[in-house]
Amino acid sequence: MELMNPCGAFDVKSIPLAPRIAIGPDTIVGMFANDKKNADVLLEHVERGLRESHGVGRFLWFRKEATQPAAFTDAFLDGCDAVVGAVCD
Amino acid sequence: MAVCTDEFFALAKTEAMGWDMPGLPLVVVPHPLAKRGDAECRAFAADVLDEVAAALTADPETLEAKYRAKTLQGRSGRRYRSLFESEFNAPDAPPTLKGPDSIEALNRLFLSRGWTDGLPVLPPTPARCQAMLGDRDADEVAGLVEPRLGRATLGKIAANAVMAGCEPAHFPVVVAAVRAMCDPRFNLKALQSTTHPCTVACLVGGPLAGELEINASYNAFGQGSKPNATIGRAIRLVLTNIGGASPGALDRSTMGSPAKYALCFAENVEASPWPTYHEELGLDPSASHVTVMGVEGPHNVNDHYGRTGEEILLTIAGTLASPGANNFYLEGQPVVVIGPEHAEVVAADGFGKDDVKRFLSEHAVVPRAVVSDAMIEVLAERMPHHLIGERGDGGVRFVTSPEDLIVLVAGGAGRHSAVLPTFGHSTEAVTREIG
Repeated sequence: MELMNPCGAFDVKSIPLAPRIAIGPDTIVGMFANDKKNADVLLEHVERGLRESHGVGRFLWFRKEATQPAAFTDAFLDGCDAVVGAVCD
Repeated sequence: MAVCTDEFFALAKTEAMGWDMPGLPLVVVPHPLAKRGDAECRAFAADVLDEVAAALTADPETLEAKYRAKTLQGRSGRRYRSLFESEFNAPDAPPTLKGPDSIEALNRLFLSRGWTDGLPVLPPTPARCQAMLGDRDADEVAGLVEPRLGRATLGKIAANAVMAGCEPAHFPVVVAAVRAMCDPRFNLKALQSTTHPCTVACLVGGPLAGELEINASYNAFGQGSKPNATIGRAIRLVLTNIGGASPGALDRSTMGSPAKYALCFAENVEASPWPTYHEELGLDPSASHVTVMGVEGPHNVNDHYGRTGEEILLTIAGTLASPGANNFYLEGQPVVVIGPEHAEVVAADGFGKDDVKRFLSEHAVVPRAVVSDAMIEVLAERMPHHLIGERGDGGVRFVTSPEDLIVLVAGGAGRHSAVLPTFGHSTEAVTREIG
């Protein structure tokens, strides 16, 4: 039997990853938590590890409300060399 | 790059693909994180620290190749691969496929691909789909359905409407509902992928509700009415097959809800003493409209003994005020559907719709005794205006503002009403004219 395909077309483009960074005392890493319980705690420990073991000098934090899309500030977007996000529950 | 728990890997991957970054580094820690203590979180962070550092510093092409190919089986045992790699979802996917001639075998095939709600579907043959479409353009795009941003062409919507059992006369309602739920204000991505058991309720209003015989009376939320059942079901199939919200994979609802099969209804205009919702919005009463709302399934309100409007509204307010509902700490637009016999008593005591909203808003208070200290801390930080007295000792308000409440009249005879909590303030009810 001939049937119509009921699935929506999912158009996946591929944007290359941004150039990576050399981390050091002048690097600013953004820490982006999604407001689910312990996402921030996990990131705090990642921050500590990046600071102590990998020499990252500075961190900027951004927290979004769990059920809302993130409304990043220019200060965050322009201020970070790279961002680590946490998607937890 | 992002760190996610293993159970939410599929969601994070889909999000990355939706942003056109299928090779985004996703580093995984065990689920659930919420119940872990500080020491466990520290240990998880230590376990992934080098991978996080590498994701920030390594060669991007190497990272992209590694993470593009990364798949992870969730503990639920649900398959994820087909969601990303199915040839049926590709932009150049064939519009048709060859299926078995037997309806039983066809349904087994569709079920195995995750294309049904578990119930048998009608085969979406080209002839049936064309009849559903009529003279509409099959390639017209009604919207991109979250979370997978599947392109909802009228042809695809028609195929799902056929599968759900819709009649061609129902199709404009389904299309209008799809357009409404693709409105950013509805925040479909969150509704589709949340652990909360919300679904898309479809309220049909205007002349078409009567012409199509959308049930607004006995069992308005229940079985037995073809348009209610099939329009609601078509919306669910669109959410699954075009939006990609497969249960356990991208639809992360912890408990789910029978309301997720189908939830379509109309207001009982003849029995209502008040203006309809669409009249409240100031819409043209000669036109028909559909409103989508991100709600939980209905919770019944039984009050056979209330002698006055106030007494009945008090029972409704008490049912509305639930500490387990999202609206309790996320505000939003809770929906109250008042049964005709309740509405008659309430209106006879002089309550207009705005009075009803004010009363419910004032009296929907959760007693402090059933609110945990942890929740009080959350509320004190986020919504201190909801706490009555010192740290909520006088109770916690459920409704922020009377205008937030959506009050409807539906149902048959009997002294029952219903409340439908919503996902919270990140979703708004969205209304579209049925074209």
